[in-house]
Amino acid sequence: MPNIKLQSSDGEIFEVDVEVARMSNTLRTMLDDLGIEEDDGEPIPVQNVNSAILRKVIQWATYHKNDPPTPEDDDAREKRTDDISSWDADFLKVDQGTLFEIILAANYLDIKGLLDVTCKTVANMIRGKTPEEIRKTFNIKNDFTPQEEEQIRRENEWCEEK
Amino acid sequence: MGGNSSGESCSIIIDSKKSKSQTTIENLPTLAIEFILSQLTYYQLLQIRLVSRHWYSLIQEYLSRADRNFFINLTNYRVQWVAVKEQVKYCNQHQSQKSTAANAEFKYELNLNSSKKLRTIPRMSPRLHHLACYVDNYMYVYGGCVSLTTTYNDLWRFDTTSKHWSRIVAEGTLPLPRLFGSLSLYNCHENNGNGVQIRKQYLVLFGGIVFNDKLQPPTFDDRDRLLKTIHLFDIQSNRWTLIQINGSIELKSCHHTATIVGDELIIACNGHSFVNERPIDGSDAAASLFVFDLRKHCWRCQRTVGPMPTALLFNSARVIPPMATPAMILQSAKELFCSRTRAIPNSFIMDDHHILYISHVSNYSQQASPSASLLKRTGRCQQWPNCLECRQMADDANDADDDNDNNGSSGHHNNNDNNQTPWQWQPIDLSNVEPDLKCGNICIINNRLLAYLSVKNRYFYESKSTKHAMFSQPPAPPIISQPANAMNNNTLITTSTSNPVHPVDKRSILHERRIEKLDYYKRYYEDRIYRNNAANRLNNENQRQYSPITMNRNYNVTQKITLQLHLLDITEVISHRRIRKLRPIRSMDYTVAPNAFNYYSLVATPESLILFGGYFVDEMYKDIQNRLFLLVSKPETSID
Repeated sequence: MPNIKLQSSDGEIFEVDVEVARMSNTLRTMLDDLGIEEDDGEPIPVQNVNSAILRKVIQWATYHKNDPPTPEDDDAREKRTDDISSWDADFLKVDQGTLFEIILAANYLDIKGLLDVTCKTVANMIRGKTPEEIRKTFNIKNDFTPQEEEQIRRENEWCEEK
Repeated sequence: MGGNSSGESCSIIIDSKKSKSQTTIENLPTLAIEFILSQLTYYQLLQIRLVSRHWYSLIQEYLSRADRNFFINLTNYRVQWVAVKEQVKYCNQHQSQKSTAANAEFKYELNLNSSKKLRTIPRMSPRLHHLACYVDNYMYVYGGCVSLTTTYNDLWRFDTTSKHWSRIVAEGTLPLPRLFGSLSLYNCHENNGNGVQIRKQYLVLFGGIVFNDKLQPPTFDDRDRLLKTIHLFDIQSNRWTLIQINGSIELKSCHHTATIVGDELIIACNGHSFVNERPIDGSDAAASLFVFDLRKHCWRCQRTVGPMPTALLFNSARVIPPMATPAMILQSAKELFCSRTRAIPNSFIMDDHHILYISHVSNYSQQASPSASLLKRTGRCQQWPNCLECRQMADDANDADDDNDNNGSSGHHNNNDNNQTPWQWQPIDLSNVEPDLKCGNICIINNRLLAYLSVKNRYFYESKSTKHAMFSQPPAPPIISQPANAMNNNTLITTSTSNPVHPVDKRSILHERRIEKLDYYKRYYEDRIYRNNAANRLNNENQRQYSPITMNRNYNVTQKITLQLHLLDITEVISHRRIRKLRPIRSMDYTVAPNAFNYYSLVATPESLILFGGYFVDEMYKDIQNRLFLLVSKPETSID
């Protein structure tokens, strides 16, 4: 397998398998456009991703490079948020800032699987929490007046949990 | 740059020197935020609006976009169920006479400071077989019952914006409590007395059957129980009006299909109808279509040509011979109540000249196949006189009566008029739909889709392990008829007539019957699984579905039984005379889903489908319910 070089925003150079790089739609388009099939000595700049995050992304992509493509129509299986594999769950045991930066990187590099699993992780952090707990989790300031809060609570009254 | 991500990522460029803690959830691209939101239930979304202003506006925008795209999302099965808590608002008749906006404000004020008052307001009682109709942001629910002899004639209104129920304190001539009548919306323009045309909206309640204990054998005859009355409910003034029927035709009917096109109330009789005391049955299907002129207030029998949809209309109920014994009638009444074979065919207005009739098997135990027909109607339409079809009709019947002819005999005249242009029945190909069409109710969305619900497959395998022995036995006979066979018929009638004396007994009997019925369904499903399993053993899908049972033998029916959504594409009904099933691209989110079983109502609004009432089955509770569920859209996210 030919390798290519990727350069993070802070200048660090990573040598990766072409197939791993091609998991990113952004990089694949770029490689196809430039006609790069193997390392020609010139590293490809990944401008928006720093070395720490790019290392994580490459780690994820290397692990998942042989994944079968996700079936488009999986009728029987219900889409659930808890279907995160244990490897991914371990992989995403990082601090919040890193998690969000991985999301940004996955978004920029257009890696569907990574974006999917990271967003699900965030959704799991939100699920089942009270607004106050969510504020605490994500360090968000409550900028509602008590009246506004009461108003929204009233708007919410009609909806049952189950 | 990667195609679909570049748009979002342009605005947010990470400064690599920024410390990690500075990247917060609010920095995430819209795409990611929306995907995260799409993972949460509607309830959770509403709750987390409380986090901050930013989150509030984010989620508001997300939800309102979902509402706007309801139809598109529905076609992709990107929808979810939301359970609505019962909230009743007192609706004073004086207030409701004001404009709806003022009314809403009033109710809102009440909501602010009257939490104590609310407890005294009557609750929406559980019911099934009720009639529901959606009109401009409100769903109206009339009547219904909890048993054959406990029927209601109350009218309720559900506000789809505030999600509040209000009981309408109606004036005028109240209709009798009944079952199996029809409720349809009638839009018309009326002269308000000053020569100004105003738009009026009425609900038209026709027919039905009355079961109460005052009518006992030997006068126990369907003919005395069927109603011929037509009531109009004025939505603006909350007033019921009983229509004085002109003409020589008198139609008594229940279990019919009603459709209002223009000023015509079109009744397709389904075997429980009498015209001038003569029963209408399948043999006389040509004379089974009746039209009531809502301006002249008279009936006419509408001639029809084309393949007569007797299978569609006359399978829904068995015709009772005039000289039936009380036991036979009681049996027939029970059949009506449980709709053993088929429910009333649903009718959907395709355009002014086409009405689609579609029948389905309402009871899950029946194997009858569904059928559909298109009725081509000639008569005035909105484009009159520029419409080609209308012109043709006018040519065919030059001496057609005009609007000024308010003579009571015109109905009679029409009936014998050979010049009357016959309407046409055209068969509709359902080969793409069968045999899925087993459900409680169908509703139409945007004139392009039909939605119906069926019990989700999950039920089949989850209940399997409860009675393994059943598999060696032949399918159980319908349990509904069993109480009658098991007991002496007279005893049963006595029981029902003595109900008022022993209300507790009545309830326990009802409860027992429900349990029995449920038990039958359960056994039926088990039998079906067995057969399906044998037939499709090689089918991976089935093996995957049934595997949990073999692993978990002591599994009881403890899980929720949910309803599964199915959609039918009806855009080709007029052009190709066929209906296609819209296969789901991906499976729907059933985190929240109604566990209704049958006899609920299903109506469509521009942003949702509303399911209300019906016979529900839950792990702990098997009964008639008053729960309301909304099917709302889940916006598309480009990530999946």
